[in-house]
Amino acid sequence: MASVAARTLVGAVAPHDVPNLDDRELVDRVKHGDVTAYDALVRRHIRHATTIARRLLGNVEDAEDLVQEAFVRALDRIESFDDSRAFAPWFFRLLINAGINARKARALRTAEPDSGEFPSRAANPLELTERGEIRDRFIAALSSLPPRQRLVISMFEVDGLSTAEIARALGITRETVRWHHHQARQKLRDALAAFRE
Amino acid sequence: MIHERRAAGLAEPERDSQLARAIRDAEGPAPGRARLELLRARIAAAAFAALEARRERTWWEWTSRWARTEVALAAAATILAAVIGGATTIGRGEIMGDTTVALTSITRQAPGAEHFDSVAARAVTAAASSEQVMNALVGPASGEWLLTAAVLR
Repeated sequence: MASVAARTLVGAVAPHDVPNLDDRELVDRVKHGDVTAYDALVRRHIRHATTIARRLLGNVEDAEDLVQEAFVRALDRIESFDDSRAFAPWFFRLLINAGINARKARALRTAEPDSGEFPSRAANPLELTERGEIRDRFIAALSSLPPRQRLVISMFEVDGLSTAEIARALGITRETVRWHHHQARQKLRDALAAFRE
Repeated sequence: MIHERRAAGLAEPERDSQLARAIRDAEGPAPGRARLELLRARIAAAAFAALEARRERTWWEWTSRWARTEVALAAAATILAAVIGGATTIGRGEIMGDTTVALTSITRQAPGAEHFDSVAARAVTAAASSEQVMNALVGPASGEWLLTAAVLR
C-alpha cells in the first residue's frame, strides 16, 4: 500500500498506463485518490451499469441518476471492498441494491422505454395493431416483474450469461437464478399467451 | 428458501431466441457513446471532492508514516554530531595535550623555531588559559606589543 501511495504521489506510473491495470490495481489506486484510476474504472463498467439500471428503473434519466449514485457510493465505500474478490460483482450488487431501493422510494417517471420497435414487416393495419398490442402487453409484463426476475431474464436471454455468471454478479445462488428465470419466463409467456392462440 | 428447494429440480434453462428478441426490442437501443461520455463527466465531477480528500489524506498518512523514520534519523544525526563535536570539548587537559603535540610537530619543521617552540610548549604545559596560549603564539590582541618590539629594534 505504501508503495502505491508513493507511486501515486510521485506519479511514477504514467496516466496512459492506468487503463491497462486490472480492476484490483485500479481500486488500490482509487483508495489513494487517483482520479485517472477512478475514471478508468468508470469507463470500464459504465455501459453495463447503465443497461442494468435501465432494466431496473425503466427509463434513461432515472437509470443515469442511479449509475452516478452507485459510482459515487462505491467510492465512499471502497474501503469495505475485499481486495481478494472481483470488483465487478461487488459494484453491481451495490448498484442493484440501490436500484431496488430507488424503485421503492421514488415516484418513478413513466416506465415507457425510449424507443425500440418490433420488426415492422407487417403490411396490413390489422397486423400492425395486433403487433402494437402485443408489444404494449409484453412491455407491461416485463415492467411488472420483480427487479431480480427482470434482471435475471435479461441477463440470461439478452446478455447470454450463464446462470453461474448471473449468480456471481447478483450475489445469489444458481438455484435462485434458475428460479427467478423460471418465474419470469412463465409470466412473460402468460402475458403473450392470448395472442399466440 | 422455499424457491431454492423447488429450483433444485430445475435444469439449466434453454435459451429462447424469440423471448430474447422481444426483450431486446422492449428495452430499446443501448445508450450511445456521447450519452455515456456525458454521464462519465457527471460522475467525475460528483466524485472529484471525495477523491481530492483521499489524496490529501494519503499525503498526510504517507508523511506521518515517514515522519517516524525522519525523527529517528534526526535523533541519530544529533547523537553522532554530539559524539564528534564532544571530542573537541571533552576537557582542557586533552585539548592542551593535542595542541602541544600539534605545535611541536609544526614548529619543528620551521627554521629557527626553537624559541617559538619553547614559548608555546611552556605556555601549553603550564596549564595556561587558551587566551594565554594565543598571546604566547601570536601576541596580545591589543597590538601594542608589536609597536614596542618595533621601537626596541
